[in-house]
Amino acid sequence: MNDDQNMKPKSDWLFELVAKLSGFQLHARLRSAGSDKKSRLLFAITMGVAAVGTITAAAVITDLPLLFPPLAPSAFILFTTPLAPTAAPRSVILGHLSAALMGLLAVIIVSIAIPGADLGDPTIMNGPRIIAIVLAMGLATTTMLVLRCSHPPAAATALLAAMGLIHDPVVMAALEASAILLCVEAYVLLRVVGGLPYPLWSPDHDMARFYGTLAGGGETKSSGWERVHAELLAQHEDLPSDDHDHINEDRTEVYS
Amino acid sequence: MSIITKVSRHAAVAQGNFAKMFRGVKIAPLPEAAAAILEEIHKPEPDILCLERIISAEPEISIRLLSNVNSSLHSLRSQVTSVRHAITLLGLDRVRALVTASAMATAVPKPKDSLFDHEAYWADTLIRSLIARELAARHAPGQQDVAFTAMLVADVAIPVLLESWSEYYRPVLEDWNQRPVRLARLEQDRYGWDHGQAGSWILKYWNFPEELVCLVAAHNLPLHKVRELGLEKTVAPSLVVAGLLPSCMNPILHRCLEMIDLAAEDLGISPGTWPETIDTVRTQYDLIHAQFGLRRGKADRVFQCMNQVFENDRQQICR
Repeated sequence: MNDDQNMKPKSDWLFELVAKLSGFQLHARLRSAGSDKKSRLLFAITMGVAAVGTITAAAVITDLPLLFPPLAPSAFILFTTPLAPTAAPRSVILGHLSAALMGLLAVIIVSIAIPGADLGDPTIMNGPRIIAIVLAMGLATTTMLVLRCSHPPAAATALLAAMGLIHDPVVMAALEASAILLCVEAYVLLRVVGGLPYPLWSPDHDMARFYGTLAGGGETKSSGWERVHAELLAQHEDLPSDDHDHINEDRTEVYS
Repeated sequence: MSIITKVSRHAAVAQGNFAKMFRGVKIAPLPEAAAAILEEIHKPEPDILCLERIISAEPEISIRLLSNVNSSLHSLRSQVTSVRHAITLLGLDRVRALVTASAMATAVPKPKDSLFDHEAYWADTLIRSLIARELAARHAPGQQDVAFTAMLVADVAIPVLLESWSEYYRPVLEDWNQRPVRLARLEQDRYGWDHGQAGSWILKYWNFPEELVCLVAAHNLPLHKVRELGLEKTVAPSLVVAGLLPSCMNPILHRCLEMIDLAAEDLGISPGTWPETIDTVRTQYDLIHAQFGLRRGKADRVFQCMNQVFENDRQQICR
């Protein structure tokens, strides 16, 4: 008896559609053994390019200074280790904001402490500027650690501010707007295209521990059993038939 | 339910995204003492003194341990009264099995659904666990209690899924109740994953060791897949074979026959040894069923089904 036809799912059309489309998501690709690294790489490249490309286009269209160098490493972190605490929107948005403010604070402190420091012109690299940069780095690092919003690319934002490149409120607002825009893009792309539980604000540590490298975990740390488990989660549709045809009727050993 | 929520739930089920599926689900944590005992046992070098201290502080677990070691299963000449002596005599794997059994009875949810018979679920689980232990004794000597523990937790996802994802999982169980098809087969056909894979996620959440997590994920696989994964020397084949035992709610002769054939072909266990195995399992079941709050007669249908395989003509069963 082969009743495979009868066994097909009797689901509704929406489920069928979602099931088909979600098969293309990164999460579904990760379940297929062997495609893990390639899929992750392809996903990170395409999504990163799409996200930064969109912000670049927005900058050109609106004529606002939305592009700033630390955005690229931020995008890198968001799409290579999206479930790591450093990639959560809280870390990205608060990280860049606090770092920029600390950079500006360092400039103000040095300007007050050293009269005639001449920190207004970003092209001048003098002693007070070096002190401001060092101070900015220290303040930004401390603030991010205290606020638990560590985001390494934000350290570069502090540097930009201390170098005098974030000089007016419009630049500051544009910088923060592009960080928010990047997080919104990441949320949509990671959830829709990736099928990954990218958080809305704070990192979800409970969830992250199931995602290994996507949550910033090392690739070489997994034990033999962990690798087998990853393969087991990828196993599907290969169960033995239930039609009992394989039971050998002619066997005569000790059954009666 | 909004369309976005609906699509998101559909996607989670269609992908077998257990992290997403069980994210909002309140999976009861393991009782604190049980979790502490299991954590100590799972360490590379467990501290027996520490184990003794935790177990002694938990009257329920201590009683279970002492009554097990003093039961007729072990036929000891003198009564064991100290927890440390019981641990030494039973061994860590057996202690783990007993603690897991105690913890599971508390942590596994009891869905209020006409399709789910809590007592039948535990009766099935217990008999399969005992069979897995007997098979492992011959196929993977020294790992019997690992097999028992793994089988005891292998179906943990069924009540969790029925309780929290009933709109998806209920139709599968309805289907299963109506047709003589394996539950895992129906799950795979419908959603592309099975309760073994889902259960392995829950065990990982409970911080069970990776070995048990893998064994649970593999318990519905065909044996050639188990070999491909390099698990043939573990207790995984014993679990696969024991997993074929039909449920006491739906005892199917064919399934028993299939189990015996598979044990003969892949584990080299002669069908002639099965009557003795069934007797042993029945005796052990009678000794421990009360610890799970089970009535004695609940499993009778399965034992009768297994005995019928040996009483009836094989060709008659196949017809």
